[in-house]
Amino acid sequence: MTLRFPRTERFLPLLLLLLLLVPRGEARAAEPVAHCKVRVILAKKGEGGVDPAIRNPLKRYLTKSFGARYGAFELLDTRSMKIARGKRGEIPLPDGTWLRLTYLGNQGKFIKVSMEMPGVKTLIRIRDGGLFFQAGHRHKDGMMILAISATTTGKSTETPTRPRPAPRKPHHETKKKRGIAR
Amino acid sequence: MKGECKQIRKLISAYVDGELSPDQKARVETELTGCDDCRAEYERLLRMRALVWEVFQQDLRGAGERSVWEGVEARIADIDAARAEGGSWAAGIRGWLERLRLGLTSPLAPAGVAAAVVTVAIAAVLMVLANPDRTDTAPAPAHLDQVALPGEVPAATRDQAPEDRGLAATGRRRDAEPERAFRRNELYVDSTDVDQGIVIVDVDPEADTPAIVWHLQEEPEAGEDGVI
Repeated sequence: MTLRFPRTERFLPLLLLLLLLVPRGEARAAEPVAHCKVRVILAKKGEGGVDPAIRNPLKRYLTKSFGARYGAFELLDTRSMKIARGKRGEIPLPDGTWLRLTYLGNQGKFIKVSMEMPGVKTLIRIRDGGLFFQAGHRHKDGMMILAISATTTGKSTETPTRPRPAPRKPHHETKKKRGIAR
Repeated sequence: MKGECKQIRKLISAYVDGELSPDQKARVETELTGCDDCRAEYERLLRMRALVWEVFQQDLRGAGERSVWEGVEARIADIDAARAEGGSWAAGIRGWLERLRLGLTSPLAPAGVAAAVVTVAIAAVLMVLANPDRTDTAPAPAHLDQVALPGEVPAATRDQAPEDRGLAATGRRRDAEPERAFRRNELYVDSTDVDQGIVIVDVDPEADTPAIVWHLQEEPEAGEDGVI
């Protein structure tokens, strides 16, 4: 009787090892991309409720954060952007201005994003998959609210250094106000 | 003893073992029929050979020749059965380990093991060299001085003067910070650059509602609520 042991099976451990290493190489090659979604909402005083196009959890967030002052929330626009690391995405806003988002990289579980609108530039870190609001700009007879969410795919490369802080402005221009908390 | 007998007796052992040429064999057989001493020697060798063979057979039985082959065949049958099962992971792994165990007895096995070890070592060195600063295991932001504490608004404008930090300034140390709850919409502001108006970051650290980055372009007048 002859024992049958194909030669390849003797090197199965080596093949398994190579298989384990290959996916790492592919992941390393994958460039990280930030998927940003911007929903433009017009908040008005009075009755009107929340636009049916706005669903939970955003609906709940809006009413909880802005419901004390605004009673009507209308979804004006929804934009999605895929932004490679170090690249910038820009969308036009209904009030004629624009919003620029620059994906700066990842830091732990956070995404570093530069948010720019006419007259203001803010460097933020948001949890991967999280959401935040940008608000304060007047539009029509209400206020424009931007609900911005960001998620990254691909390998999350840590940004090695802290971004340079923005130059300080005179106090009268960057004055902080109290009493605006919800 | 005759000279011919001396030569023949040297051949008797080979004759018993069947190792002679036909001519030698014929010579030995002729001698055996004509010489009693040679015949006695031949019979002695035959008895000795039979005795040795019997002892050898007993040894083989004692060593379990049959059981050795039965073991090998049973093992092969197990492997084949494991292959035939197909769906059973455990059986497949058992069969693979068995084949691996037998495969490692190959002369090439040490070379294969050495190649695998060298490959692992090279891969580890390359991974370390390629990404020495990898800190995936650290969930917190690298700049811990910017991490907000519970009840504290995260860094709104860290670079501003303390009197202007407003909601962001509490002066508490983070050393005694307990484990913070996961907040899906956690946000920190590293810096702001405002040409017009003011920026306020509104965060409720107790709730998971998203932060609001206010950009108020106009100063609210006295008694007015501003844009909000």
